[in-house]
Amino acid sequence: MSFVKKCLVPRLIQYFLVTFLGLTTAFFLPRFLPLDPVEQRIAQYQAFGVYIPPEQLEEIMNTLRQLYGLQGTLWEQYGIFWRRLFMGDFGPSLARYPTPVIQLIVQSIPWTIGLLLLTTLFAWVVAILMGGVAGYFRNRWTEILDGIVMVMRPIPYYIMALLCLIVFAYIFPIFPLSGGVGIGREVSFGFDTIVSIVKHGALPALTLLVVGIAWQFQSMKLIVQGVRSESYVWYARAGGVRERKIIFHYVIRNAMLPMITQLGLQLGTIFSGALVTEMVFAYPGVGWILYDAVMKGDYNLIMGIMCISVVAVTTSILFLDLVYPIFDPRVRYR
Amino acid sequence: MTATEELLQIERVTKVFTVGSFFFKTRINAVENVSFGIKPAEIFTLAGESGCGKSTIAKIILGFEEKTAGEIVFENESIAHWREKRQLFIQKVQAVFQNPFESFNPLCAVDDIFFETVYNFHLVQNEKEAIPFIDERLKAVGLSFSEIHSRYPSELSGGQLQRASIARALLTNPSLLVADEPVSMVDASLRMSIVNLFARLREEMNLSVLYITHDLATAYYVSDRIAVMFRGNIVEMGPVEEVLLNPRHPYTQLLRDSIPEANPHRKWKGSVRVANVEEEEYLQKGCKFAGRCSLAEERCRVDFPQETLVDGVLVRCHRYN
Amino acid sequence: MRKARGLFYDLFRDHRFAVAIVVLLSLLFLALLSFFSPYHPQRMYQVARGCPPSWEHILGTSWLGQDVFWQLTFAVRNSLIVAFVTSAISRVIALFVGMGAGYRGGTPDRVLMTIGDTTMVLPLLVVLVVISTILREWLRYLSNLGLLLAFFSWAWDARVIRSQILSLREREFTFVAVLSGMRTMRLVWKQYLPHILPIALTTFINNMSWAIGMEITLAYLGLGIDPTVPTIGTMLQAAIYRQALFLGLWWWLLTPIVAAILLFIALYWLSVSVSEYLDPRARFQRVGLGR
Repeated sequence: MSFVKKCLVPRLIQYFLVTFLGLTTAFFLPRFLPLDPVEQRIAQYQAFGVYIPPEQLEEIMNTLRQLYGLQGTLWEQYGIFWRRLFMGDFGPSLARYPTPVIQLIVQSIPWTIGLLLLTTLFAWVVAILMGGVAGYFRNRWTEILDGIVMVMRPIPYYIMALLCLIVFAYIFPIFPLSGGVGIGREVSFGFDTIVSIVKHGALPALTLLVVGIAWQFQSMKLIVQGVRSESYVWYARAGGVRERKIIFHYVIRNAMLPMITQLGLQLGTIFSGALVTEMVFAYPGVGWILYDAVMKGDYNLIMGIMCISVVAVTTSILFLDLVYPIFDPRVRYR
Repeated sequence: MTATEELLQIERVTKVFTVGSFFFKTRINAVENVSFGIKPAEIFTLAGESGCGKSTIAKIILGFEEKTAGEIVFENESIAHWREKRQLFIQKVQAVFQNPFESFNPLCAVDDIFFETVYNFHLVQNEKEAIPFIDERLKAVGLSFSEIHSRYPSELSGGQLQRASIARALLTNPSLLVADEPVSMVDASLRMSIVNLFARLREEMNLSVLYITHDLATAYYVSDRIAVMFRGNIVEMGPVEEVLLNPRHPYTQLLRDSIPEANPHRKWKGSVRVANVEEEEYLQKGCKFAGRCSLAEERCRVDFPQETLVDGVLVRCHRYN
Repeated sequence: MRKARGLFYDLFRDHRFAVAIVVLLSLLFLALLSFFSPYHPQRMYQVARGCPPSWEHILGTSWLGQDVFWQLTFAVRNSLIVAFVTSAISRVIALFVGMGAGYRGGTPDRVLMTIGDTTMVLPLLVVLVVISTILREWLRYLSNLGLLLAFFSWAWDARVIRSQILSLREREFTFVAVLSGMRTMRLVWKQYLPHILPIALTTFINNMSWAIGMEITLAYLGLGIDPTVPTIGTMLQAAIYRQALFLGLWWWLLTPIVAAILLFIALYWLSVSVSEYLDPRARFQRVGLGR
């Protein structure tokens, strides 16, 4: 009972606070910038040679303002923003009028989450094991591995995605160049669809995996090297504990803890990275519709994605924080 | 504020630390109703085991911690008054700390801080006099300027650093030196010379020293008066011969009996009670020592003992109430 | 001076540092070459289109009729400028915020840290997208992009600096410094700065890497700088947009990619070797004494 009160409540309060702040920032961001999106829109139309009679200009601007949620005073807008938010209404997508933004987002989220979840978890587990072993032992293999990672790690998602694209879809045309499933296919639960999904998802997954593993591997290795020379490891060895047990139960288990916290901090970056990767591969996740939205100036969609992203990231961090005590008994018994 | 002959007067000072966060806090009385006074040209020892609050008192006196309650008077002015005249206060009250290697910034040369002190307090008329001034002060502790010039702390020994530390503290001619375990990390031979230095300074410079230690041997050797602390309370206080040769409080007795003697025929006490968890001991009602005291009675666990004067010694124990 | 020479010699023994310095210097040389370019960076169709690498055009020409090699020199120069501006500004902010928040504590500390945290938690890409969409016009200038990126990268470093200061504050030499009559500002400046500079340096290098990555990503989205101004990002974007691969003009696409990879690896190796050098614990492990 006291666990709930001591840890859970303050943490939840912090979660809501940060999410609230994030969403408020999302709200205020475009409004504090010196340019007015509505005016920009009008200017764009006029640049394309569309003639707008001055009487109707006012009305059009009003409608646009309503769409954008920019009507009324700042406080009114803020109120409308939150009201709509709770109803999940981000307005209609401007590029695909009148499809509501929320529908578009809901359609693409499963792709992104699937990709992210699988690759992040897998990369993390692999990196922990590899990094743990590499940090513990010091032989030729680990040096080679280290060398490879030293080259891979600094490469950002985008470039890696491009590389994968070029190498595996262009030079050796193994995987398809884009999309989530073959064009024109119905998403059903048949075996064919699954194969298609896997084929299309392979390259984005590969990108995320490689970059993810490279990052975590380095950190884990460094941490393990530090843990390895701690007194309790020496003590265990002197006490005759089997080497294997030392590696896994003592060293890796302890090194995992800072890795988990690190993961939490990196979630924002990993998320952004996934979005970029999707863009390169035209993978139908959130990233791709974001790209589309930017290209077409779909303001509502961009705002919707921003809000969802904020909530997604803060929620995942919260989840990690709550899961942490499972791994760290010291925190458990407080 | 009555004028007294005391240089430093501490009255019923309390410091409460709150541990924990958000909704659930535990309050630990690190220092509880502590009162004592230090006269000019006196070496006053504050003794006790680790975690009894003596370092906290030192920090409060120096102004690095805020007391929760109580009064501190220095040279007949309250500490609040001194807070405004901080630089003047620092000039008069200096400190030496336990770890000589930590007392100096590892990335700066040792003599840097000497020059800082000299310039900040305008101890010399012009630049040329700075080095001879510092050199003279260093000679008083057995060092010289050339020994520390442009040297980093890692290049000097613990003994040299601690002596340099003391020399720096004495640059401003303070009237009170707060020495927080100055000899704990220094080897035996140097220990005696440092302690002798304190005694000499008391005679020559009228310096008072608040000597904080857990080493009763040196305390007995050099100090005039002693106060024994346990978990935030002073349990016994008086002239050093009385307190250490004829201890009244069970804790002081335990301490005295624990001093190792090079005598194979005299063994340590048979039964020793191991201390409880520190936090629990702090939060105990009644006498805080009751958990370890072999003479504890029922009322010791319930009532907090008051101070009584016994033969010129202040004791806080139910046996003397 | 002797110390500085010894320092360099030590660093050079780490082959990563050596390689990194060589690569960076070459790239810097490339950037400087841009001042001697015979072609104007932004004009198109100056030479024959789509020619493969030859003696006349070392890295070939693009479909837009530009010499790839000389474009590269401008690209490297501009990307480095953006990176440098971003890192310099964000370092300064981080130093001030970190030192101020760390030493003062209390409300200003909490406020600053909350602001910093919020910038960290927000998924950067999306936020940058939003800002870039609206500030399209303003963002066309290199230095403005640097400013924008700097605004989002001071937070982490400030936090690191702050926690360093918090721990320094409790160390005994701080008390001694106060007892020597040092005032707050002077104390933080003289006593703490030497401890913090190493961290600031490594994060500076990392920040540069990140900034270039961001610039490339933004260019890909068509946001960010004026697409006719050559940077690594815009070169890449131009090549992709014009379907370099399908046209078979691999040199046009590969050049910015290779340049980018070289830059990233060099910066990373530089930062790793410098940070390992400055942090003795890490050095210990490198020598293998940890076993």
